[in-house]
Amino acid sequence: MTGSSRANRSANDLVRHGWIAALLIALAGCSHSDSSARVSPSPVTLRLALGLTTRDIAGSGLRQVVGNIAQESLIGFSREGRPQPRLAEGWSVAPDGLSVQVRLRAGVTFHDGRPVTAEATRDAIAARFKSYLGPAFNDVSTIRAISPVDVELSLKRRSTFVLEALDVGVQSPDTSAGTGPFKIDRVSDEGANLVANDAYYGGRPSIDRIQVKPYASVRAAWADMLRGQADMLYEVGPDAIEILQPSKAVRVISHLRNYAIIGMLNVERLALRDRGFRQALNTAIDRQVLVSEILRGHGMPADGTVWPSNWAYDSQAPVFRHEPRALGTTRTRLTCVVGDVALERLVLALQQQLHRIGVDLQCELMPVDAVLARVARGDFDVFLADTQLGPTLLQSYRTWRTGAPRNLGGYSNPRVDAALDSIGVAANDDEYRSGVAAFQRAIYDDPPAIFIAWSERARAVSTRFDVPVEPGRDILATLRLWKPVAQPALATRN
Amino acid sequence: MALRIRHIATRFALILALAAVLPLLAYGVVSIWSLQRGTRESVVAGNQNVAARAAEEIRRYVSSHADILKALAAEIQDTGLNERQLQSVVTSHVLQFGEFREITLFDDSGKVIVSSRVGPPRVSVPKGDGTMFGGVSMSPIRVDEDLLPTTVFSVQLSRLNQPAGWLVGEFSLEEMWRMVDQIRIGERGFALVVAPDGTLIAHGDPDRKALIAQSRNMKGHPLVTSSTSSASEAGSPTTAEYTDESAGPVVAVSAPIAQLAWTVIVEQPTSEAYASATALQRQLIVAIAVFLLSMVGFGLLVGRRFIAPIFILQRGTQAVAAGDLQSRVQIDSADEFGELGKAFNAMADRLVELQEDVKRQERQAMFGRVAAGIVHDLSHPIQNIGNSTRLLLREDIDAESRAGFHQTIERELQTLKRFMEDLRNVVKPRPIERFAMDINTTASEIVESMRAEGERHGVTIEADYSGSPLMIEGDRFALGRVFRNLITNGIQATAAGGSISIVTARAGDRAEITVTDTGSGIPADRLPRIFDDYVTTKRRGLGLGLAISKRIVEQLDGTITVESEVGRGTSFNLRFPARDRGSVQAAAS
Repeated sequence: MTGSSRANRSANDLVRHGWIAALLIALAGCSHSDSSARVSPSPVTLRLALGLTTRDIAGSGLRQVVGNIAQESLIGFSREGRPQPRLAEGWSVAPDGLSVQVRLRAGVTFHDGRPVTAEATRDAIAARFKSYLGPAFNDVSTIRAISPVDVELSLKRRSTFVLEALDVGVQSPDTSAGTGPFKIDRVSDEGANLVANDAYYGGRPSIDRIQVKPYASVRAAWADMLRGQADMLYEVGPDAIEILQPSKAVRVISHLRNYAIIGMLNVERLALRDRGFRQALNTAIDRQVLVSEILRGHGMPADGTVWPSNWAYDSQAPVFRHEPRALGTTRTRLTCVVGDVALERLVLALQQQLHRIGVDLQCELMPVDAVLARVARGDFDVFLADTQLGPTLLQSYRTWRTGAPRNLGGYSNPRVDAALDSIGVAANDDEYRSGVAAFQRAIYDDPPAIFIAWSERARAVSTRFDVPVEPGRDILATLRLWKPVAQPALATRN
Repeated sequence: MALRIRHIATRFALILALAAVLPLLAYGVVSIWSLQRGTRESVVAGNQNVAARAAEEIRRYVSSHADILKALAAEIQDTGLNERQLQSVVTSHVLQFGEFREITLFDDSGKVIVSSRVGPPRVSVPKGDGTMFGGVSMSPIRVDEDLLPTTVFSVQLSRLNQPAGWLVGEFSLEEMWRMVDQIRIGERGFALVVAPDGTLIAHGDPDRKALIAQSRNMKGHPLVTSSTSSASEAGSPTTAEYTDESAGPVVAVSAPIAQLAWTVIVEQPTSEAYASATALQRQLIVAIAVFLLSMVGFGLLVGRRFIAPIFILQRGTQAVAAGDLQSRVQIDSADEFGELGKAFNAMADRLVELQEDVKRQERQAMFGRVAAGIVHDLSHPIQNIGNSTRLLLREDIDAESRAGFHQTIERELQTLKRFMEDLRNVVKPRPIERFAMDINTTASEIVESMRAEGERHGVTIEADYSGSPLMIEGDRFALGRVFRNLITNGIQATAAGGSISIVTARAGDRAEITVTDTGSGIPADRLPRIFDDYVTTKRRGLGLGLAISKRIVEQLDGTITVESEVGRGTSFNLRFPARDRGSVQAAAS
C-alpha cells in the first residue's frame, strides 16, 4: 500500500467513524434491556398457610382441610344444589324412590393403591352414613354392591337426603386413604404434606407437593405470606383483602360460601325457649351494617337458613329484617361462646346491636376444643360459628332436624321436622320446592339461631401459580389444574 | 499516529462540522445538564412537598386517634359509668374506630376493668417506656405475636388529681397502611414510614409490605440515617438518590413526623421521576445528532463544489505534465479560481510558443551541425582527391607516386561513399536479414581489414576469440558495420601507442563481444547520450555511427552498453542471444 492510499484511507476512516459516532449518539438512550424467561424447576411445591380459625365443630382444622383436598365424594353438588358426578359416573333413583343405584368410574384407585370397588364404596358409605345423615339414616334399609361397579342403596321410604349425603368423602375402609388428586404423605399438628396422586383418574396434577402449615390466626398466616413463606393463604381476613389485592405478587380470589355465620341458640335455656324472643334477636340484627362494616362487604346478609342460591329457595318466604324492638325493662343476659378469633369484631357488633333491645351478650373467646366441650355440655346460650348450610337442604336437615347430628342447641320444632321430612320424601322438584318453602316459613316462625351473614371466603395465591377461576366456585376445587407460571430469570426475592 | 487528511473536501467538511458542531455540542451539554438539574430540583421539590404533607397527614391521623382515646378517657373518668356502661362505651369505640384493635380499661393496680376483647386482653398497663404524644403515651413499636409491628396508646386516668387507672388501646398499624397506600407519586412512587429505631412500619408498595412482615430494619437507609441529623430535626426534609434492591435507582426524600419521631420516606424510581427529562434529553441528543450529520453532509457537499476548480486545475496540470500542451481548463467562476484558470491557460499557450521556439532553434542547430559536419567530413577527402588529381595531371610524377595518388583518391572516395551510406542509413535504414552466423568469423574479418588502418595511426588492434564458434541469428554485413564503427571510433579516440582489443566469449545463453580501447574516454555527463543521433565526441563526423550501431544491435535482439573513464579508455559490450549447438549444426549444414 502506498503512502497516498494510506492517507486516503485515514481520511475516509475518519469520515466513516464520524458517521458511526453520530449514529451512536443518535441512538443513545433508545436502548432497552431485554429479558429472558425460564420455567420453574420441578418439583413444584405449593406452600399453603392455614390460619386455624377455619375450624368448625365437625372437624379439627388442619386435618379437615387436608382431608378435603385428599378425598372425593361419589357425588358433588353445584352452587345451586344440583348433583354432579365425581367418583360416581352416574346414578339412578327407582321410580318408587326406594332404591338409589350408583355406578362407579372405572379404574379409580385409593391412594393406597386399592381399586375403588363397589364393595369398598359400600363399606365407606356404611361407615360414615349414620353419623352424617342423622335421623335420615333410618330410611336406609341396605347398602350393597350389586356388581363390581354398582352400589345400590335400598330405602325404606323415599329420601332425597340419601342422595344428597353421597357428597360424603369416600375413604378406603382400612387405611382411610382417599381418592383425590393429592394424597396425604404426612399429617400432624405441626403441618401436613400432600403429594400428587400419579394415578388420579382426571390426570396427574401439575403441582407435585402441597405443604400445609397451620398458624395460630389468619393474621399470622397472612403475615407469613407477606414474608414470602407461603404460596397460598387458605383464608384472607376481611381486613387484609384490601391490603393484598393491589399486590402483583399475590392474587386474591373470593367466593361466597354456603356457610353462614350464625349464633346457634340453646333453646333448652329458659330465656331462649320463647320463639318470640328468638325472633326478636333476629330482627335486632342489622345484617347490612355487619356485612358492610365488620366484614367490609365481603359477605351477604343471611336472613334465613336456606342457601339462597339453592334451586329450591323460596324468595317469597318471609325473612328477618332489621326491625329492632325492645324486649321490656328487664335486661336479658346471654352467654356466648366463640372459637374463632376472626369473629371478634362481629361479636362486638352483635353485642352492641343486641344491647339496644335489652340483651347483654356475654361472649367468651376460647380455644375450639373448649368451645366444643362447652357446647357438648349445653353450657352456652349462643354458639357463634361459621356453619355449613348449603348448597343442599341436607345441611339444614343435619343442623335443625330434631336429633340431627349438628343440632347442638336442642332445637326441636314439629313444623320444621315435618317440612324437612317432606323435602326428604319429595318425589319431584315441585314437592321439593314446596317442602323448602314450608321449611323456610317454619324456621322464620321459630328461629333456632341468630342468622347473621353468608360468609365470603377470600383465598390468596402467589402469582407464581396459574389458577383457573370459575365465578362463585372455590378455587380449591380446581387445585389439580393449577400450574406454575414461567418466571423471569431475574425474579424479585419475593 | 499523525492523521493525514489528503482531500481538501474532507478537511473542509471536518472544519465546517467542528465549527458548527462544537458550539452545538456545548449547547447540548449545557442544555442537558440544565434540564437534568432543573428536573431533579423540580422532582425533589415536588416529592418533598408530598413527603411533608404525608408526614403531616400521618401525624394528624395518629394524633386524631390518640385524641379519640384521650376523649374516651375523659368520658370515662368524668361520667361515673358502671362497668356495663363502660363495656358498652369501649366496645362502641372499637367498632367505630377500626384502627383500635382493642381498648382495655385498667384500674390503678393494673387490674382489667373492662375490655373490648372477647378473650383475654393483649395490652397491659404501660411501663414508662413510651413517648408522650399530645397527652397520650405511645409505646415503642413492638412486634406482636403474629410478628407484625404494632403500637399501643395509653392514657392515664385521674380522679381528684390521683391516678385512677389506665385506658390502653392497641393501635392497628395495618389500618394506617391503608392511608399510606393512598400516598402515590406517579405510577411507581410510594411512601414508607420508619420508626425511630429503624423499624419499617408502613410501606405503600403492595409488593413490598413483605419488608414489614420481615421486620426489616431501615437503620442503614440513607434517609433514615440522615433523619437523625440536626437538619432533619429542624424539619427540613432531606433527599438522596440510591439503588433500591427491588425498585432499582430511586430518588427519595424524607420528612420527619413531628412528635412521633417517625420518618416518612417517599421513594420514586428515577426512570419514572425523570421520565420527561429523559425523553427531552433523548430528543435533544437525536436532534443534535441529526444536525451534526446534516452539517457533515452539507460540509462534504459544499466542500466538493468549492474545490471543484482545483480538481479541474489539477487535471489540466497533470495533462500538461504528460505532454499535452493543448490541454486547457474551463473555469467559469468569476472569483480567484476563475483568474487562476485563465492564468493556467495563458501559461499553457506560452508553453506552446516556447516549445515551438525550442524546436526551431534545435532544427537550426542541428542543420548547422550537420552542415558543419558534412563540410568538415567532406572537405578533407575532397581536398585530398583534388590534390591527388592535380598531381596526377603533372607529368613529372613517377609511376610509384602516381600509384600512391591513385590509392589516395580511392581511399578518400571510399570515405565519401561510407559517409554517404551513413547518411542514407539515417534516413532509410537498410533492412536486417537474419541468418545463422559466427560472430568470431565476422569479427576477425573486420579486425583484419582494419588492422592496417590502426597501424597507420600507431594503434595496435588485438583480438581474442572464443575457442568455439559463437553462433547467433544475425546480419553479417550489419554486424560488420557495427564492429567497424566501434573499431574506427576506437582508433580515432586512441593516441598513437594505444591499443584496441576485441574479445568474444560465450556468457550463458548469450554471445558477448567487447571492444575496448585505451583512448581518451568519454566524459560521464555525455555517456547517456552517445547513442543518440548526431551526438559525437569527435571533431569530425555526423555523430551517427553509434546511433546506427545501437539500432542494428537492438534489431538483432541484442544489447549494447558502454563504460568509459576519461583518460583511460572506453569499453563497448555487445550481447546477442546465442543459438544452441543443434541450431548451429543445422545452420552449418
